[in-house]
Amino acid sequence: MAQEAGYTPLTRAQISEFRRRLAKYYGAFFIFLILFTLVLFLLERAGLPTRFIGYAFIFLTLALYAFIGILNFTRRLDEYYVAGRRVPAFFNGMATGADWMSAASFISMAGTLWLLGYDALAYIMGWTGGYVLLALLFAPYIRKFGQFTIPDFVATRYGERARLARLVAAICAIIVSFTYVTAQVTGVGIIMSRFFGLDYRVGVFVGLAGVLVCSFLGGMKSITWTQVAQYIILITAYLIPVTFLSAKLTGVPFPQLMYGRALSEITQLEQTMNLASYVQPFKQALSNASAIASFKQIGLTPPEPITVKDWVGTPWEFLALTLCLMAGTAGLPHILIRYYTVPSPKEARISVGWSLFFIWLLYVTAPAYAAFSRWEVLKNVVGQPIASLPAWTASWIKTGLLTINDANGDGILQFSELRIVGDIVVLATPEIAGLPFTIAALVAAGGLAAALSTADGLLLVVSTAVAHDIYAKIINPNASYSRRFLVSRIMILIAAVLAALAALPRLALIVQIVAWAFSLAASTFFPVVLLGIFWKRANANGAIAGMIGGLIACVVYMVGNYIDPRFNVLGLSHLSAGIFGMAANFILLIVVSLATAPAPKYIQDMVDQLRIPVGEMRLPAPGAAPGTAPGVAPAGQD
Amino acid sequence: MASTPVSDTAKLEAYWREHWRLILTLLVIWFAVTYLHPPFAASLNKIKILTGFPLGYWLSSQFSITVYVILIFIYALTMNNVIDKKYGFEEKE
Repeated sequence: MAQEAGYTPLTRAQISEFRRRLAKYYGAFFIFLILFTLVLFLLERAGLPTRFIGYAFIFLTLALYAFIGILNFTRRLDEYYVAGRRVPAFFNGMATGADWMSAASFISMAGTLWLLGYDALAYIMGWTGGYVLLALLFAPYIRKFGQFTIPDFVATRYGERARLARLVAAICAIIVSFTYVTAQVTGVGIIMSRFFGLDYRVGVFVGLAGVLVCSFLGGMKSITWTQVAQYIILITAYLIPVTFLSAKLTGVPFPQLMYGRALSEITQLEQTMNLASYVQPFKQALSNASAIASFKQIGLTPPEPITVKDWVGTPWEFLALTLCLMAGTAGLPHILIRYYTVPSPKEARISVGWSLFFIWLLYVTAPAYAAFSRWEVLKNVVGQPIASLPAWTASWIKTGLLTINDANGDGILQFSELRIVGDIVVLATPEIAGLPFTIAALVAAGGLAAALSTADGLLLVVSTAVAHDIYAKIINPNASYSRRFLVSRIMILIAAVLAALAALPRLALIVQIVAWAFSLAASTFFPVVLLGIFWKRANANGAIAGMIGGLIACVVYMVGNYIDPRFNVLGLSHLSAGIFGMAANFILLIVVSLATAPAPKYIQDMVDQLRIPVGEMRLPAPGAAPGTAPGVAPAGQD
Repeated sequence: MASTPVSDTAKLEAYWREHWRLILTLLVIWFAVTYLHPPFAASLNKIKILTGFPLGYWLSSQFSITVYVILIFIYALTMNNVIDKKYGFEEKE
């Protein structure tokens, strides 16, 4: 049966013993991963078919995730939701890194840089700079609050209308996280089909099984320890190929420093070929090409193609997109809840530092991938006779990621005759660098780890939003612990199956929605959590008006600009729609709060307590303050 | 912490002011490294540094994001080891 979820802080000796044990386990795991790769490499040279090497990697990694999941089986609510709040800062940093970096970061980021050049650096800066806001303005206070979910925070802080605030926040969390998880499942299917030769649909379900064994049994506790292992796999897999490529192309195995040479070579090659400069900023025109593709795929009549070039050369879109991505980062529920899992607000502060350090390792490397492969393409592919292209191109032409079409029939490949799908940049690097298939399989395992770890975290947010926030807090506050567990586990299953079904048609729109998730999070949670922490006068009326108004403003600009790019302010695209949602949310939150009665005294006292970085929060017990139940019961004691 | 008597209120306010000073300083740096260089990236790119990076590209792809990591550690270490200590907010065994 389920146990009462009392939180018992560890002593210092216990904490350092725990840390030592973790370091030992994960250190051993890292050595094992390297040895495993070496053994497979030797077997490959001895003639083991590549298909088996691929299977060995999927089997090993999925078995490992299942093992960690079973090891962390739990019957305690606080372990299931927040890993017992005893994850050390350093390891929470790794887990956050894996939680954060999805299939998109691992595979598509370098490709986006390849295609957009300087303009894609908005993603690099936005997805790292957001952690500064998270550290300075959110993480320690979220930890001090010490609840289970982000709707918990919203409902407790805006306790005058706890039910409504919780419901609106839970719905926002579900919208943001569900679309995101659908994209991860799509990523899993693509990796499975591309590398391991499985059918896309089979790949989706095999991958999903990998997610479920882990989150189903142990919730946040097993997700956390799996994510640490997944981070180790993904960062190893990301750094190895590009390091070899750097050594091959420049003689120095330090890609982050040496891709400067690639950039200057690219610039020279571009000049001789009369191409647009890769490093030149603000080249993007506004267009509705992706709306047209999505409309066609769903079967609707697509809008007329429109391209707006008026704003090319202005920095507004770059700056706005950076801000949206930063605020969205700080407002994403699956990242915020990671800081519930550390032992104290002080650990939370350090933990964000480690999180960003581990993310930085990948993000500082992604532009190197893009630059080296662009150099390779401009030097050895473009301008060559089509009959004698480098060997690595052949296998990627077969997959359709690389298309060449000798439009003018001169037998020479021009740049305009080459089409590249961005994902090829990371996927083909092992081959370009002349590495064995074992490394390519390691890269696939890394991409799989990135997609699965993010899917784990997101599924937990979706299922807790329903099982904890909507069911246990609103519909049936008297539900027993075992019943809540049952509902949580059923919800994970339902959410996973729904995500798989949503991923099956492979809609282009899903990738679009993920890009929008940041704007949506920035428009809903960012202002409400920020002012909830720092402005006592903010009240429930303001928060609810702000979240709803922010969501509407964001969606209106997004959809309007997506369909017709002539609908724009300063040339901002639908990707930056969060600017308008955030502004609407802040304005409504401030104006409505000031126009209505201040939050009651007990809530203002709560905000005072938030500022003290030691000890656990003391929240008023249900019934102590009129009208507070069911929102403000302290986690674990209700 | 037990309940907050009146003498503690003044202490808490001083703590909060000092904490804001640190946060605002770091946020100013964050703002500067995020927003001041991209508008001039085209001109900055004419300058080459290190192994041949165009300066504008390098600032966005390496400099700014490295500053972010440093800012967070400065914040965390200053709060935990200096400001919290000064006001007696330390973890008990």
